[in-house]
Amino acid sequence: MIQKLVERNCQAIFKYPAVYLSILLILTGIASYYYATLPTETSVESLIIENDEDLVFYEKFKEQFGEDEFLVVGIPADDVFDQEILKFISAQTEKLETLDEVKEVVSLSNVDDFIGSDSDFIVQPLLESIPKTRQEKEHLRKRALANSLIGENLLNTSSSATLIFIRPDSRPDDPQYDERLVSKVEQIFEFSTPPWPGYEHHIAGWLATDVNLSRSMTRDMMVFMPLTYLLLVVLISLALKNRWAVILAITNVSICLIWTLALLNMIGGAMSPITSILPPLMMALAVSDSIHIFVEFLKQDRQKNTIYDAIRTTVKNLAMPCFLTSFTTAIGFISLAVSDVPPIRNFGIAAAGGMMAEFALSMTIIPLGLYFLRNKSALQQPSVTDTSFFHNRLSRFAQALPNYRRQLLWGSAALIVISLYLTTQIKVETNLLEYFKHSSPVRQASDFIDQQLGGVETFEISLNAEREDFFLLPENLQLVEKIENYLEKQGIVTDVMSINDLFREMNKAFHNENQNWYKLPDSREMAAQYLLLYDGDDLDYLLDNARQWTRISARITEHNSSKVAVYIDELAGFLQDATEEKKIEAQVTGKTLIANKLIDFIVNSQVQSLSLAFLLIFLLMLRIFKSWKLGIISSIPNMLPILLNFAVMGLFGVPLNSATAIIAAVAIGIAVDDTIHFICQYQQNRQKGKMAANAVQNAIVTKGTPIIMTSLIMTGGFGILLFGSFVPTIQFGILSALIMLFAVISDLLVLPALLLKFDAN
Amino acid sequence: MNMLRPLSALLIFLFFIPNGYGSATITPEQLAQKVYDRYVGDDMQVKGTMELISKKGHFRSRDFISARKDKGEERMQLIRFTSPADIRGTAFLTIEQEGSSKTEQHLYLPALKRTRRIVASQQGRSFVNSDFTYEDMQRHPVDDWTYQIEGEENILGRTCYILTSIPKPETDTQYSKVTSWIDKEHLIVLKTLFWDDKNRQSKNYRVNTFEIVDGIATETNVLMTDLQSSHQTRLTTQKIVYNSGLDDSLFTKRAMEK
Repeated sequence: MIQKLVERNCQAIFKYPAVYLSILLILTGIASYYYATLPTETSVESLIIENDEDLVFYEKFKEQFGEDEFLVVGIPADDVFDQEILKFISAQTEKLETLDEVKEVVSLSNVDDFIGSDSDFIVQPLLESIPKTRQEKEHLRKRALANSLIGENLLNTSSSATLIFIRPDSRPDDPQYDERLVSKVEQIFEFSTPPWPGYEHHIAGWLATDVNLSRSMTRDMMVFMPLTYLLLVVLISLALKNRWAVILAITNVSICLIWTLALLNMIGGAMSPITSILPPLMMALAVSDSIHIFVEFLKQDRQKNTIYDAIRTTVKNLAMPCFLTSFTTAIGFISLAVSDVPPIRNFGIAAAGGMMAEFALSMTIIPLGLYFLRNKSALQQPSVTDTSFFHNRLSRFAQALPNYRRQLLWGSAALIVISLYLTTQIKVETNLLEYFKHSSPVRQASDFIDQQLGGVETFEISLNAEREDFFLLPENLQLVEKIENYLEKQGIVTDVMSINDLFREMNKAFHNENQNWYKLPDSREMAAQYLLLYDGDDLDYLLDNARQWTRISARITEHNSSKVAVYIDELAGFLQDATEEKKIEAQVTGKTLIANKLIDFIVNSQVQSLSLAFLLIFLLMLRIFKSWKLGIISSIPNMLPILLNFAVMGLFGVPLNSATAIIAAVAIGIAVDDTIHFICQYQQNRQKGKMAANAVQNAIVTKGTPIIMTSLIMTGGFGILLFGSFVPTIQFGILSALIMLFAVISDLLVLPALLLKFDAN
Repeated sequence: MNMLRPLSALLIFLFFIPNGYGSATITPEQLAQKVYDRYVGDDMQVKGTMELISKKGHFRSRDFISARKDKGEERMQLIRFTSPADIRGTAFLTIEQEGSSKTEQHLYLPALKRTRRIVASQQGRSFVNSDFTYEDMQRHPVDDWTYQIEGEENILGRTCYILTSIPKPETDTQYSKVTSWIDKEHLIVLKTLFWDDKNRQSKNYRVNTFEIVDGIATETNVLMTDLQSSHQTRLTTQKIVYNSGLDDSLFTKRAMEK
């Protein structure tokens, strides 16, 4: 049926070439529009399904208490209380405050301190004037460290590093907002003359991570695209040695790419670190078909037949194999559509659609192109590809193989067992910061803040009571304190912030700065009266107007998802026990939790999509081979590379993340093509009456070369990803390239051994 | 975070007196001066309610009594919250020297049974978590700003001047521009728009009702809206008495601690 369709299409192309060309141009024009308007999406939230209850709660939480995304600028210095350093911080703070995107800046130069005495309660900026004498300086240091709201937030205990805290205004409807804010902040710090020798600054925080992710992605595209084109031109030139073929193949590949990315946009997808893998992947896949078609076309004898016949014969011969390979690859991709992670889902759908479009386009663009170029002399001559290099070696290999059948099978069985064990060692990683190399500026900035200033990520705990004024009662503030104490004991927590900090500081200030009074108010009246004095903003970040919903915020220095997950679980358990007897809803939330939640999604996606891909491909194999035995035998060499991939991940500590989670489903769809080619050839041989051993040997010799060639092309395509900026992208590249290698080995070693063992009669 | 400065006019409402009925033309500066000089009684007592209304419609209501007395160059003001129970008795005493930035403020917290002098240096702080800042509750010395009359408009059925004030560079203020709608007859401000230091409209003040009490135009229901947070503060006056001859001893720390 496919064959007939393709043939009829070919006839129509020769009849109405202008119509085909116009339609193609119009459709590609429309697709170009969608391609050009493809949005970029890098935030963690975009990875979570839209109506996830934790995400919904987090949005509500943010609406009440403000963004927990912020920017921090860390500045190391010998002593942050030195004159020139304070002057610099003061000047930078003033500049930052003028930015439209900034809601609030807090630094040593503008933070408020309160001072209590027998008679006075004084609220004034910590830094009223730059200290001139050593005495003034030490006094300032003492005050800063004595106030926990300053000492624990804006500097380290040795006062060798300080932090400028920038709270953004929230304007979710402006997609350029984050980028603009981060650029402006960078400009303020980069275009100021270094205020002292050895000056450095570190900009970190979720906003910086998101923005840098988006920038690196754009940079990666600029690298991937030219590199992929270069690789394709080289490969096609080597394979075809014909410039018209190269031009047509590249045109075909480019149009496929535009259509695929347009499709990504149409289904609501966006360019993300995950979908940025699409272009090199699609191009490498599309070029394989082009090469097959041209190899077939160029070897047609044009002495006897017209060029029309040559084209027709070519597409007729290749319709079925090309369709099958595209189809199986598409199956691998479409299995990702069951994923709960939107970018993975979009990646799967767009790539699957792109694969099928690629088949239709290759079967149209190349015949159409050849039609228009029919008078070019380079296309008039048949050319023969020299394959003797592989051919001779493959013959010798095929002769020797049956002798090693047993060893191969036992070896494979052992590999499967080892791989299964290593697979259990795989960790899951979902933190976007882990996407960056350790050498990247954003990662270094974050490391600096973690080591010196207590980190930028937080656990957010929401305590929501049924009754108004719940958090004015001393026993309820004690509950908050109990949670604070628990958090402070956790190794990864550096600082805990809650409404109690305000109460304790006020209490101390109203008791002549007596440290013994650094404790919670002991009556509801006292709490209410302290709050009356305390003005809006700070309070709003910690307590709602009804005094029944409060937030505890704990800064952490760990980013590794698996480790963080353990803490979150324990914390959730503790909260449940601690609040059991109260009419109160306690919940862990915050961006860190949301990012961590992805772990389950990614693992589930992996299991579901992989199972689905296996099932669909197994059914397809049954349909093609019409044999249970061959269906089952063929699935083993496909499972093996995937298992080996997991084994490598487990062995070398490569985590399962949003990119590596895609590999298995993608790889199985591609690897299975070779298996199908091999078994088809084997089956034909058997039907012709050959013995199993002969049939296997013949299949190795005939199909060995194309299997190796296409695998090399795919390996090259995946290899390009090594030039990416993101760790997961690079991991994806290496692992996928490895799978291609494993697939060749298992198709040419394990599959023959299996056939010899189980299909000998 | 913070504390209280002068409540020189706890209620913005307490400003103005009509002392120049309908002169044919008036310069912007003259208008500003007249508003500043408006007679608001030698002393005053108010019983009122402050309602804080959050974006989501959460309501918090506080009752207070307040007394004010002008004594020569000094303006003294006491505010005491009477409900809810947990803040009952909390009192703020403010003594302001006219034409000077020296303002003394004291706070009494009944839970601690202590009075403290409050010293705070920023004008832009919110007063008791309301949408009014300390600056909003003081009169601006006329010379610190430049003025422009933008036209006239009807508000609450009254013909109003539209007066725009821009701070002079050396003026210490949280605003970059303030536009007020001033009743021509009573010289009372019926509406004000505030712009913040980034030139964004930040707040909106409106008088919903006013009455003439003892010949003094007196706001009885006003609403301040913070346009960034959508938080609102409503002040309503249940009772107001002018010129009852309040004793100075009312405005002492001792009286506050009673």
